[in-house]
Amino acid sequence: MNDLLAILPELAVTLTAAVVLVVDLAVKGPGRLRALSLVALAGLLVAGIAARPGVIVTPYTAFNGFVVVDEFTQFFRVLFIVLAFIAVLAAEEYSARRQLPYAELIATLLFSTLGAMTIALSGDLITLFVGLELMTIPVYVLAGMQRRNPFSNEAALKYFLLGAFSTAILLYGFAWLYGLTGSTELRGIAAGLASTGLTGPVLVALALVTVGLSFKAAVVPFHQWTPDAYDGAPTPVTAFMSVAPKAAAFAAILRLVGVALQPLQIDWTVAFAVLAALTMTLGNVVALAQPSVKRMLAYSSIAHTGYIAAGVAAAQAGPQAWAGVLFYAFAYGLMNIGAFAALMVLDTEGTRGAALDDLRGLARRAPWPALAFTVLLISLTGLPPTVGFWAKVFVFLPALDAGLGWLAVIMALNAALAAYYYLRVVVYMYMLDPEGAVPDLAPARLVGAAVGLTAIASIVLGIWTDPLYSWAVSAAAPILR
Amino acid sequence: MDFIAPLIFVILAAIVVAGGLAVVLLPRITGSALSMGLSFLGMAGLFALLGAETIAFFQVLIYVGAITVLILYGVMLTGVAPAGADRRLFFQKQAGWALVPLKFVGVVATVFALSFQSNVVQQPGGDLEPLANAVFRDYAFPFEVASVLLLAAMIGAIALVKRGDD
Amino acid sequence: MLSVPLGWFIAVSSALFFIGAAGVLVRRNAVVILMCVELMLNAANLALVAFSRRLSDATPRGSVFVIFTFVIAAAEVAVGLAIVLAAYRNQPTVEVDEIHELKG
Repeated sequence: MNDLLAILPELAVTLTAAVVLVVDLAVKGPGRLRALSLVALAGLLVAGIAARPGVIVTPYTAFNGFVVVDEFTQFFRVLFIVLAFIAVLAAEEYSARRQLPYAELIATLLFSTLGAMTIALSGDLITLFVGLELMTIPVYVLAGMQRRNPFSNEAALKYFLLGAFSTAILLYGFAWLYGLTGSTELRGIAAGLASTGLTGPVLVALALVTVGLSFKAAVVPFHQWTPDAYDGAPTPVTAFMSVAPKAAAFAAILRLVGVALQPLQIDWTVAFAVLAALTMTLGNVVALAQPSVKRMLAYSSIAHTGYIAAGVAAAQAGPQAWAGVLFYAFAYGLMNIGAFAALMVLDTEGTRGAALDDLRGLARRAPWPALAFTVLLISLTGLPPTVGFWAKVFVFLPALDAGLGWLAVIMALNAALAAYYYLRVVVYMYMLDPEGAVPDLAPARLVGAAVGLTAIASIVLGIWTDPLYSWAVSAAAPILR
Repeated sequence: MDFIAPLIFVILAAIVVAGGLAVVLLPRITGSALSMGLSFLGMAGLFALLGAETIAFFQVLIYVGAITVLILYGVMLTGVAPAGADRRLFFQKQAGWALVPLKFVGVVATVFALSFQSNVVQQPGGDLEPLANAVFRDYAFPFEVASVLLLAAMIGAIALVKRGDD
Repeated sequence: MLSVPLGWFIAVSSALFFIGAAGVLVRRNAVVILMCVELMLNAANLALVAFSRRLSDATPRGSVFVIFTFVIAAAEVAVGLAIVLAAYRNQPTVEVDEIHELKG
């Protein structure tokens, strides 16, 4: 019984997915989509309440140690549930317009959320691996949900082929980790590695695991699938897949590096710092040249991966480095899902997501969405008083403390680059007039709510930062001992 | 007796590796699919040789059976590219015929592998009992997650290919 | 205990893994790439069972891992073929090189 209580949020999400599928069969007529949304949102609300019953002082395990519940678990559970909530909110109107199979879309999204939550609570490699696949395989499906659309097909195909490839590499790395340490539990692996030390085979296993997870998190040079998959997928799916799998991949990386690989005490710093610098620079430079806002956001999400990886690299600076990683993941999740949702406010039939020119004069046609989008873009740029500013500060300072001055300089330069292409969008919305006839905007009340919520959250968390940051600090504590 | 197990190992390993190479090298997709089945079959033999006969059984059931057939269906539904047929090298038809006896050897070697797996005294129930205990008791949580994964994959696959309401 | 050294199994596993990886990088047909990924998963399974044999602990963790890999491989193939099929209906080719509506 205790075991089931430990996974209450996961049970709630699973049950919600099941109810969504049943409601889809039971309810007919015009209210069907709204009923499905309401069920999903209510279920996620329940899951969210179950995920945060109070501060966990002593971490505990369930299911023979396969489920680890600590503040780290709670933090990511809440993050994934919040992201799924916003994604569902943003999906309904778009799905109705494009005739996507809505019930399947919602259920698949919930399954993916469940997989991400499983990663956050896993105490061994098998659970971690199964959770990773439960998160990823539904996202392949989601990317291809618009099945009459060749762009969507292509996005799904590319994402699937590279995803399956990275899964195989990761599994082989896990197999070697098991073979070399004799355990699949993260603590057991740590004990095994403490006695073997860093031998050649261990290094090979670590390389395989790193490559596999870098694919999932879209770290350069394993990012090539990202822009096409994000660009071609239906926009509500892009919103979700640009944030949740990335956060989950970093949850897996932190658990592995912090718990299982902890005794090796290799100097991760240099490798991760170089990858982080490459990732943020490449993402930003390519984002500069994109005429499509959707594609620009896709590349900029690669750049944000770089900032998060910089936090991982700064581990030497102590617990606040990984608290910065958690804070950044949370802030990035909110801002980015909101930005993609904002693109859906501009959605018109026959376009694939907004080109920069479609945004001309948006401030006059849709003042509130334009304002919310502006707030989100400012937050993504990293300007005060938004949450994005603090996220950058919380990974910037540990990088300095860890003696990575050069990385801090690259981060600052990249922030300037990012400011150019993010604020260019604001200029288009507020200062340029539309050319020629303007198509009417589709009604988008729910999407508008999603954009508004994320924009308000960006400002509120930017001004009232401390609760989230202290939560991130206590969430990073169990993995940094 | 000491040379028989290594001999069986060498035969099975050759089948696994040759099958794998053929998947990559054969120009015709049906050839690749059948070679993959062959490689999977040899792998089942290797599992049996390692004393994991339950895993070997699942390997035959899931990989040689379900996955190979599923992929052959995929090949059938997406069509075999006729353009490749012209570029076929002269030995490839013969290579196709060679697959048949190879598969036969694979089956025979797998069966033999079961009898020559190891000199350890097997407890009754073989490796099934510890495996079942582990999967259904200790690993109950990942097992449940895996069942949700199958459900999710099923719903997803249907959502992607069903015809009708669009 | 076993008349065949476990290193031999690991060698076969590594060979198959690299054959599969090379296939993913070289071949351009989506279904063949899928097959190559399956080869790589099989290689990992062999390594897991072989390691499980060597460690011979009370819980055969490697074999248990393989059971879960089977489930994941089955799910992956089902979804992968569905994606290939959906793409094929819109655009009758399975050659990855010919699918490039999106630049990149």
